[in-house]
Amino acid sequence: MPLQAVSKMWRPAPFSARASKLNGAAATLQGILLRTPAGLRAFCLHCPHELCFLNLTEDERSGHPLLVCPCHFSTFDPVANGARLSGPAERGAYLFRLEVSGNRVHIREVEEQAL
Amino acid sequence: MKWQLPLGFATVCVALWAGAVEDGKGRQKLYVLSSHGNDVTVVDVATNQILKTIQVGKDPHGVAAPKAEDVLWVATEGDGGLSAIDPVRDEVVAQYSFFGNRPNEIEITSDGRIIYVPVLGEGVYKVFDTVQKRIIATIPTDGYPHNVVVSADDRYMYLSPYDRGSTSAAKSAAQGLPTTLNKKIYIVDTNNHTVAGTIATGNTPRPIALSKDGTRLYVNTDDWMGFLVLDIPNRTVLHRVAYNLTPEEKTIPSRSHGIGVTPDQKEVWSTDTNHSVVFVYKRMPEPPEEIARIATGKIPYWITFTPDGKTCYVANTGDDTVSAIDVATKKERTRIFIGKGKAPKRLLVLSAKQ
Repeated sequence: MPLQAVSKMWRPAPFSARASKLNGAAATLQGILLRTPAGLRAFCLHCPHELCFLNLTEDERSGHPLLVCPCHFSTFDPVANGARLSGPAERGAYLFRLEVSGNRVHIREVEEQAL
Repeated sequence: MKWQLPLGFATVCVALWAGAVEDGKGRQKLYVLSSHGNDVTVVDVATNQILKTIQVGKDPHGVAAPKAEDVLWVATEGDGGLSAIDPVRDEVVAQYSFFGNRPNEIEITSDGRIIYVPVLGEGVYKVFDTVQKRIIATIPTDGYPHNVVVSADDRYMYLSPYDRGSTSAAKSAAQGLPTTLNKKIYIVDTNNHTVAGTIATGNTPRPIALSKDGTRLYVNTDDWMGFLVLDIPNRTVLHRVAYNLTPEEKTIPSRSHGIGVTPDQKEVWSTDTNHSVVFVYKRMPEPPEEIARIATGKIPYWITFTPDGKTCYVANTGDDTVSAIDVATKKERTRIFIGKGKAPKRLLVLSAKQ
């Protein structure tokens, strides 16, 4: 993905990532790449609670967008590596590992639990 | 786009409207609960335009109405409440606040006398007498009490509790929630509000829909993309119907989380959340056969039909919209924006007398 896609703070760059489950089955995960004040982050959009897709939503209280599940309202902080802020999810948002090489961002592995 | 009606057409419309009122039914209205808010949105079925919003309480989660459609009951999960709405004026006329920790989807007998209130955080279904205005029975179940439907003759209630899933028992207990798992449907005799039997579902049950003749229960479950067909008289799972997903869709994790039988009893409609699709099946002969798939808004959840069976409404919780789908043509007519962040889920159509 071109680095230019996330030149602006908080502008989300959506992507789909192919992965293999531990049993070998293929999986397609939806994600977004974000430039946050803490740096570039790539989040898996499947909520750790019940797999609904997270939305990036403006939040007045925190002063920056949060990842919010529209199904049961678990909330995650992109600035704090997707840490869970509230809701029924037991953990933070799943993260992809990423690498920046020249003017491109490469999405690498995803946390195993996401699969 | 502007529409110009020929004069003759307008005359026909007036005549039809007058006839509807004479039948004791008036304007059909769709009621949409904001699962992340405190209101109910009222939509005019004829135009799909929002008429008003009604403040009911925190996190509305359950809706039901008796056969007479003279009252709409709404359970509010966030404050343990139950509100009665006059569907002519669309105003709250009574509120009860003693249902406890997280009342969910409710069901009512056709005469309006008895309401079953699943109380998720307490592991029980509470039976509310709307005349005595008190809880007259409490039915404990495994798991998280969540959904319930009543048979057409009011004789049985079918309870569908889900459970903590992969959340640890310790964490559930720390949150004050039940720790038991549940993989069955409860059948409750409404004569004495006691469990008359259960049907094992293998997986944890989610939304359910009952055929009018009371012989088939259609069940979405966790970990199954499709639905189960339960044989009620024999209390068994008759079929496990799998959605016909594309190879690409099969790789994207999703859930089945909304199901309904058309009023004419010919079709079963069932949602697929993360692929944003509602699947349509011909109910008979069995097993049900897929006849259509219809794209919806983002994360389709609950569905309901207009009483005449012409329109299916699908709540798209992911983008705060409701899809209005023509049942005959299987085409989405329009998508109604309910309001930013409202996360519409449960919904119901009534025909209020004017």
